Amino acid sequence: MGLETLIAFVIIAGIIFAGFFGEILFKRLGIPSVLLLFAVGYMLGPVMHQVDTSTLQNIDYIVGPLALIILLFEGGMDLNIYRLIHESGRGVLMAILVTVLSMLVTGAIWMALGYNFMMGMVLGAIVGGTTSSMVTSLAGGINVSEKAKQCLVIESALTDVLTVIITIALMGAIISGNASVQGAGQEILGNFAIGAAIGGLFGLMWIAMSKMLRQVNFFYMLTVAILLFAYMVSEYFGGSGAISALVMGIMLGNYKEIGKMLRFKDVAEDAELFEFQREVSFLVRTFYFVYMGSLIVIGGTTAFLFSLAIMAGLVAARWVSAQISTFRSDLSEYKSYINVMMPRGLATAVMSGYPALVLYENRDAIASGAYGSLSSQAGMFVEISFFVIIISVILTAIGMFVLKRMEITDKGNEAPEEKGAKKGGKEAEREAGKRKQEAGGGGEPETGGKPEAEEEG
Amino acid sequence: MGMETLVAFGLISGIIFAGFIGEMIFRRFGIPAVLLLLALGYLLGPIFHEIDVNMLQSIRYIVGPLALVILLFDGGMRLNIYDLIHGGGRGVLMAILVTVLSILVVGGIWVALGYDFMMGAVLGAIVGGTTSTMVVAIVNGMKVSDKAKQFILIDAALTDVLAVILTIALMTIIITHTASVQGTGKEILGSFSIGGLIGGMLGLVWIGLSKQLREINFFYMLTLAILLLAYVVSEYFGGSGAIAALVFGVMLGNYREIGQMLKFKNVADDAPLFTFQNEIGFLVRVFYFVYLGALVVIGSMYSVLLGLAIMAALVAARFASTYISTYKSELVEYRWHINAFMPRGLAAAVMGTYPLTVLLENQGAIPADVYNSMLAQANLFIELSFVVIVASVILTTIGVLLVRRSDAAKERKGKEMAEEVEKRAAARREGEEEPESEGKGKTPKPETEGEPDQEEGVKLGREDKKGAKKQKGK
Repeated sequence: MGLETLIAFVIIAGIIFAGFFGEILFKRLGIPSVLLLFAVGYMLGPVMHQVDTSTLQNIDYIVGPLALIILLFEGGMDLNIYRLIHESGRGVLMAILVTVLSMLVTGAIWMALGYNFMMGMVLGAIVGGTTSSMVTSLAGGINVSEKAKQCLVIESALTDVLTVIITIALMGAIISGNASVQGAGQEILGNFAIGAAIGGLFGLMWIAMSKMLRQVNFFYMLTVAILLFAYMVSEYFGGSGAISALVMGIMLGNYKEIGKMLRFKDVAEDAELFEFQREVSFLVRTFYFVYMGSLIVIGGTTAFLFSLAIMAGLVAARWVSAQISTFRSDLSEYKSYINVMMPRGLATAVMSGYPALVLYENRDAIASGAYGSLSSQAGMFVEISFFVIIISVILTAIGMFVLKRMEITDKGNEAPEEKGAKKGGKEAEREAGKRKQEAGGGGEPETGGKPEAEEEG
Repeated sequence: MGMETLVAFGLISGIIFAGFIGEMIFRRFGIPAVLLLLALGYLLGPIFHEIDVNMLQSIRYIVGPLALVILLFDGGMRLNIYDLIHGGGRGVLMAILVTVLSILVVGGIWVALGYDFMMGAVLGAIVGGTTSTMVVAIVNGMKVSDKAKQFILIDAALTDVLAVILTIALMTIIITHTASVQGTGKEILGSFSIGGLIGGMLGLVWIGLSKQLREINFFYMLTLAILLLAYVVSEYFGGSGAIAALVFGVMLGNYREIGQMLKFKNVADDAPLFTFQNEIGFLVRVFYFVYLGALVVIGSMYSVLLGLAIMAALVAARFASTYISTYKSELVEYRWHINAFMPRGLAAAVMGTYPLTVLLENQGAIPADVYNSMLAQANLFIELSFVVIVASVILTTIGVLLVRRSDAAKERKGKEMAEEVEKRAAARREGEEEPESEGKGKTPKPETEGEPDQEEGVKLGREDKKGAKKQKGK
């Protein structure tokens, strides 16, 4: 077959391999795969021109929403409603606080730069949330209590969703800007309610029929088709498709509980949905980062400087939120870990192009003078988000590295004396030897740390 | 989001739903999904213009090969090498015979129409093979012996692969036409062995590492990437990417046996590859048929009639092959069952466009007048394979229905006869004891007989469906 086929295949296979290597790099050395994927995209696009940028831009209208849907669907599936309600007040508080503060801080910075405050808030919403895919796997490897892990995971799962929802809501408010607060509120609420109702309805149907559907082949593909359909129906009736995808994800992630609650009879025992979903979202994440890397046009240092300032603001917002939400709890011990977990990811990447898109679609609804200024601001969001993702990910990697180092030296200093007193001499020696090995080799200190944390607890 | 996003999502989800509904209809009523999908494509493309045909044509260079790779990988995974070697002699014979005869017959028709024989042979290879996905689903619902089942399955699995390989080989011959037989043979053999070697090597690497790979996430996607890599590397070094994909599939489909044989230590216990492959295969099939339906332009009655004529010849070729390959065996009993299995599917659809693609790529290698004539013929192939797919699928549906009817009738007859015999025996026994009661017992019985029979038929149908599911799940 022709050369273009081979090139296309090489690019597809290469991107998957890159995602895979990125994953391994991340697991072994803690270097986030986003960096590698951005770099691959940048090499393929602006540097070597292997990818046809105009084609990519042509399919923007389908790639963006598709990534958004898969992201929200997965986010919804990861949200365990029982945990959210019963066990994680502080994680939820942290998520809300960090999002709100990020918006305010970014809005203020944006205003200080001479732009519109509302647009700054939108940017804050876009870059405000941490990415759950990275946080979940990072949290699994650190030496903190279960509760702290849960807090981190819930925070990231929730901010993933909040990022999307709030960005959409704020843009809705900006576009209907001339109307009253009541009018804008009504519109957004109506929009969300319709989306949630339709997503919920489809989710219920899926649960009720899950046993039957499970028996037929092609279960996952059918689920994806239903998901897209729910999105479409919701948007068609003026609702938010994103919300319907989210709600459907929540329903499917908790389908057993919901099925029991409503006494459905035909609920499937196991739905091999999760494994498949993981593979698909890996693909979406990998390709989207490469896609973004290849489309990015770095105009000058302005965006980079802006994003540095914004990142500083975000770090401060995170610090304050962590202070407040861990106040007077046993979580305060792990504050430094919570502070460090700030990687931005897919949600930020996907939403960064959203404001420009929505503005363009509604260009007739806005006064032409305002439109020009708004769209030029929205045009900068992609670049800024790109940099914020990179900086945040690097900061997280460095922070994790430093914390792990500190942990090792702490252990080396304190623990032998304490425990040596308690335990018999031989045991203490053996333990000290083990620690030395760990400290010397540097390999997988987290696994060594776990049993100790349990002993202490 | 914008209207075009919604339309695109509507199309995607609609096509998947259509595939799903087609699958259900196929299970319930035996009407194949292909028809629905092709019709949907035809509606979306030439009739309602919802799909941009130019756009579709511009992505042909990636859709076709991708479908081909997935198809062959899937086909390879289904080929159980042990079955093939030990139990499938007659099935293999059938597959080879039916393919060769189809090539000859279609080639003959093509010559009679005043075209080039070789191009006719290519067309014969394209439409010569039956599609395993449909055959697998139908054969499990039939009352045939296990041996006959295996025979039919091997025939379908192998012809799927043969259709692709022979088409590629024949097109290579056509393009390197000026060279000697030896030269052409060398080229084809070389290209196939390079492909086989690379596919086999990557397959071995995969098996050797399978346990480790399994532990990392994203197992299936990685496998897919390796598959594409095998294709690319093989093509880059002058080998056949299709063969590489096929051999890679065979290795993965038999990975446990191969791992054991080579005493690999890190072979995964279970690889949930098949479930994924099933879903991906479904997606590829569904989209490709819709794609084909949207692209095909039935230009004239001529191509429809020609397609039907070719179909008639293919039926004859099939009958002859069945006759030979079941000769003097217990399979003779199931000749009509075997004859009925002639659905053409994805392989014919994917390969239908292949000659055109290859010719376009090798424009410079062929003298202009020959090239133009060949191009016109290759253009016709897309339409013809479309017609043949539709006709063969309809014929299969009717054939299967008739065979089932006759099976049911035979069964009823057999039962009636058995009961008759039994009744007579009972009557004789009763007659010996009590000669008067004979007349009363005879009349009411036949009425009740009908019902249990029917019920059994229904029950059987249900069991069949279950069987089909099980097989597919594999």
